[in-house]
Amino acid sequence: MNSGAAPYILIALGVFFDLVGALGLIRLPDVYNRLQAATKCVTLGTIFILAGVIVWSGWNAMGVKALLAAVFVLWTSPTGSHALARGAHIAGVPLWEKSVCDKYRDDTGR
Amino acid sequence: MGPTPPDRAVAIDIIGVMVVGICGIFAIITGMDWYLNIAIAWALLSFIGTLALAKYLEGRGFDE
Repeated sequence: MNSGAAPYILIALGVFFDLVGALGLIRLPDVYNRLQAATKCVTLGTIFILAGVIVWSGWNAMGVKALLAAVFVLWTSPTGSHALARGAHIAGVPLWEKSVCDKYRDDTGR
Repeated sequence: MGPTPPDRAVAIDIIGVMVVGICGIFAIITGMDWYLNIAIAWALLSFIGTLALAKYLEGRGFDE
């Protein structure tokens, strides 16, 4: 239980990444920009917070549960965001007007 | 939040991932490890909800 300041530094890093992800979700101009900024930052921040829980608790039931939650987030968050981006593109949401290329439309012709 | 329905779906997805981190912080503050049971269950359920929203946005049924 007494592991110094390392878990709190990890949790502070995670909260900072979550804050940056929420800021990107509000400020960016497009669905796809928002999706990539928010998904990457928030996944990394949540992994940092759960790593802080693992370091704080040590190798017992709490640490194993936190490790399991981290593995679930690391698997499911990119899959869900990929499905959301594909669904948004098929639903016909336009890209930002300063976007350069659209490889998915070039490949599928839609 | 957002001019189109996919923006709201993205926000719901991000909130679902953030709640897992908030459960981890609560587990450290209170010292009770059953908050991490909530975190595991919430991660799986928000993933299923995100996939359902994505299928809805594609305009297709759940069986293809």
